[in-house]
Amino acid sequence: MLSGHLGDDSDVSAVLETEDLTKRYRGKTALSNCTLSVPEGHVVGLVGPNGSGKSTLLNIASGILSPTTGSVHVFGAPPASTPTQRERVGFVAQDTPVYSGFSIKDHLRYGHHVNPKWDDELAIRRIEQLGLDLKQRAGKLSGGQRAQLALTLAIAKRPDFLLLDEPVASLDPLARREFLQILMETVADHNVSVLLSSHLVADIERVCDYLVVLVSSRVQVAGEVEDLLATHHRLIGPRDADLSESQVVIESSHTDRQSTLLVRSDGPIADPRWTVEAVNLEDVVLAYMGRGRAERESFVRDESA
Amino acid sequence: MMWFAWRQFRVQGLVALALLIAVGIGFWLTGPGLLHDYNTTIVGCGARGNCQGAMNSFLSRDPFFQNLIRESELLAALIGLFWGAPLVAREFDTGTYRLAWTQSASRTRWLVSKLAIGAIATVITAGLFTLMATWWSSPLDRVNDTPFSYFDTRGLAPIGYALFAFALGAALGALVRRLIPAMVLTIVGFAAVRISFNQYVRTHFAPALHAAFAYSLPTGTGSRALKFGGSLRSSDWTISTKVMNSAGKVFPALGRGFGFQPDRNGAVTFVGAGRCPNKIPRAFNNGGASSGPSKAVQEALAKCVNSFHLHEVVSYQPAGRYWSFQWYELGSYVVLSALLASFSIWWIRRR
Repeated sequence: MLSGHLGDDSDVSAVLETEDLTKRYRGKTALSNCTLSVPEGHVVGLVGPNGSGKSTLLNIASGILSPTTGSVHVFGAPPASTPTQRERVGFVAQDTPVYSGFSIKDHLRYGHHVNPKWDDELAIRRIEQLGLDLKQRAGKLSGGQRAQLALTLAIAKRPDFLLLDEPVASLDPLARREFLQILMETVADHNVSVLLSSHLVADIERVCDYLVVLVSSRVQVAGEVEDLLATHHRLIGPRDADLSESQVVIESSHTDRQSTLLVRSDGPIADPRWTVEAVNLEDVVLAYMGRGRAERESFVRDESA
Repeated sequence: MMWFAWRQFRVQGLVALALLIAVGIGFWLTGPGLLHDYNTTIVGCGARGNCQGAMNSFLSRDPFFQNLIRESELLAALIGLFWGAPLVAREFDTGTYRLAWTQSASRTRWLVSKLAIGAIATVITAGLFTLMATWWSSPLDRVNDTPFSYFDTRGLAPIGYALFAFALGAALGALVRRLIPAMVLTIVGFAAVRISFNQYVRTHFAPALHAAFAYSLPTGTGSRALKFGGSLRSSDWTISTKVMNSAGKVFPALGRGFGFQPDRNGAVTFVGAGRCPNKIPRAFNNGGASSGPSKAVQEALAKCVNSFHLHEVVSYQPAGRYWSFQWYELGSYVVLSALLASFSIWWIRRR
């Protein structure tokens, strides 16, 4: 089913499921044969290098783009196919676009007009918390404030599933922390499933409890952050030391006499020749990204051979 | 959603309203003077015996406003450029379509309400301007009694043009998704459709009528003007004239003037038709610089022309069809606009 999938999620229903999802436009393949599943009730981080198809995937899931081939389901139905479907999904697009000629108040009024479940009180409270003036024109907001406004619009719609496409990519560290802070509060208050894309592992680490690593449209690993950290280890040992069957090498580097490996292992590592070290999330993400890139390169070499 | 579309359109709408008011004040200040001049200089000019002079000086009154009305076809083009093309293209340029398309209301409703607000504003703007222009020009139009010469800037047709320009701009914006290319294509497309429509479609709204006149050499000078007579009146819209003989053969080279070419043998050719069957007196050869051909020569040439049994056939649309043509024109452009709007909606939905 899922390559590198950890744990047993079969009893957890998926908010987003794609199968062989492919999107081509203007002669370029933005996403090819992407199969993934995003479980409900998590804050899911979607990490991957630029060009891995994260943005295309989110645009398809939000109903803005339609796939060329393959299937995509949000809450079991095609995205944005019915009014209910559209009500249940909130989206904060890349670069957090808002109408620059509209005031903040206009935006809230707009949200009220186009969303039956709109939460006026929540929206106004959020704007007040942020210390923004309702009469301020959106075109005059800073990048961070604009992102906050876009997030407010998406939250006050009261979705069950919130998609965010690199929402903090262009923000300074302080604005980034504030944005993620508010996002976390919302998740806690409203029990909403979140899918957040980023190429910054630090952001993901701060807010996400579930991680999907996407490289060239392929899921390299997906699982709860806790599990990932518990099952991945760095091993340092002599060059010729071997591993048991249950251990999978994700990344390896060697010197003449010594090997350093990043492995996935469900059980404890008993072999005394190995020194076992804990890893952090960034180590795991980078290892899987490196593996994904290597796979892709060997694939390209095979193709051209 | 209508509130949103209106809020988005508000600034553009207010600019248009301000311009309309400015132009309206101009018309209101100069219109009564024009009517007064008409009543004092044109009415009863026949009795004073100076009608032509009075009409000429009256028709050159208020050149600024006359030109403004003549160039008001630009109004439609401007609506296409600044209301039509940005309608969708600007949302693509700024990325706001991604905000709009992920609300609970569908993107179809988003586009339909934007198109509706823009179309209503277009009809009001073009309608008010044309109404004012038609009212202001009415004394001039009574003097310049050829309604089809100002067909494009009066009555109903300009509303159709403006609506079409708006719908064309919107459709091209949806198609190319970038503002500047959409604007360029809108101008090119609008001009192309308007020019070809005038040339190939409007003339066929109703079968043209025909009037035939004998094509003979006028006495006196060699030039001749189109004669009006029978059913053809000076206020009618003349579409084409052809010179043909009684067998129906068309002589495309004829129609403007009369040319005669003597050859060495003393025979004379009627240029564009053929050789004269009768003898032309030799005096014809050394005419030119002197006081013109003699009476005998003139008579012989006239006889030569008559021997071809030529007549001139004029195709025309009578002035009385003006209002029915205005309705046809409006109807055609409204249908074109509706097709373009449907295309835009279909195109945006399918992405």
